[in-house]
Amino acid sequence: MQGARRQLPWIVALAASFAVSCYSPDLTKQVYKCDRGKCPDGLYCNDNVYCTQPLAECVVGGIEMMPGIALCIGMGTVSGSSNMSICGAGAATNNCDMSQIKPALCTNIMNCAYCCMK
Amino acid sequence: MRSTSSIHPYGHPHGHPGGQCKRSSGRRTGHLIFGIWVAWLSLANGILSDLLPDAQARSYKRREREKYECRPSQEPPNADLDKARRLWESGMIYYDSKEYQKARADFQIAYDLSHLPDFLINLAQVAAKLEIYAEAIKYLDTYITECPGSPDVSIAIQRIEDLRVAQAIKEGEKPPPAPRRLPPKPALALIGSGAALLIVGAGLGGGAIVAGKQVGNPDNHNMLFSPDLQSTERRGKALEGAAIAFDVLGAAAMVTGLAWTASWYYEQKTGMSLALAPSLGGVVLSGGF
Repeated sequence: MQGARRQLPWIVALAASFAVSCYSPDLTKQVYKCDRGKCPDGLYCNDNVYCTQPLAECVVGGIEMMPGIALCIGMGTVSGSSNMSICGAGAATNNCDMSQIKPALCTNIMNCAYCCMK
Repeated sequence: MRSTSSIHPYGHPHGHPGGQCKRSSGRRTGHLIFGIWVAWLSLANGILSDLLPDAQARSYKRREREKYECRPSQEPPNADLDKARRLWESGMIYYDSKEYQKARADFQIAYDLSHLPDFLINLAQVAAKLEIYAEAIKYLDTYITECPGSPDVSIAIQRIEDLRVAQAIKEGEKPPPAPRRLPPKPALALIGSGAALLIVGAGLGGGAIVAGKQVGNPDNHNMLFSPDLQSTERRGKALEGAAIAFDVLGAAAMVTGLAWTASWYYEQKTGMSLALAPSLGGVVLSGGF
């Protein structure tokens, strides 16, 4: 059993490497533009311009930067209202703690805003 | 059996040559008498007298060795013979007081000095007393080689057989420590191959992580998700899939091997059984170590 004990660190290391050996790009720190409709896995091409995903915080779509904080791109009509907005129902830019949002990714992006739920 | 006062190395009543082959020269008298003395010693230690009837043993004690009995050996100097005699005397004292190690040392030196084959029987007897049966057998083998024509060769051969039996019994009583046994090779192979698969899987997983880092690079902000990045993503997913497959297989192999090894250590089981049995909606694969 001593041999097995000697092997234990290796087994743990291998198990740990197994646990983290996933392809999981962090897509919260950049906004991709679609390339002929192609986007990273899990995102879709928003108005054939940006790669986003459907979020409750956004009318059209966006990137979830953190839980409850979304970068929304695209303007639309909020359901139950005639107002055009970037943020979805119940979400607003004013609700966001901007000190938590780094970096500011809306620069040079049209119809972009951070939207947060209350 | 033995009476040291009845025979003296230089005072044998009959003056028969015994221990070495019969010599014709008168100046060899001391040596010849010593030869008798050694022959008697051999009997006294019991190796032959234990096997021979008393009458025959007594007869042997007085028997002269013929020239053809033993191979001729170089005549040792008289000074060495004197030393050998003294060593024989002290060896016998030790033997009588059951100090066999000391007796053995004296007999060995006496033999080295005199090369008298009869000392081999003494040494064999002492070795047998010390339960060093292999040594005793070796001494008797040497004696038979040295004195192939001696009438006691058949007795010596019989004695060797007895010693072998004693040796076997002793080894049976005290079996040598078993060499350290390794777990079954298939179990070790499973552990080794499992570890190798896990290592490969870890390498592939590392490749997947690198691909993910490239796609998730913040520097790509506001850039096209280019064909290069698309390719990187495909590669990352493929590497991830391969890594998972390798890791699962490796982990399964390693766990199986470790379980097998543990089972072997605790229960000394060396086999593995697998059974395939029909079941509702399919088959059931079961196994055990």
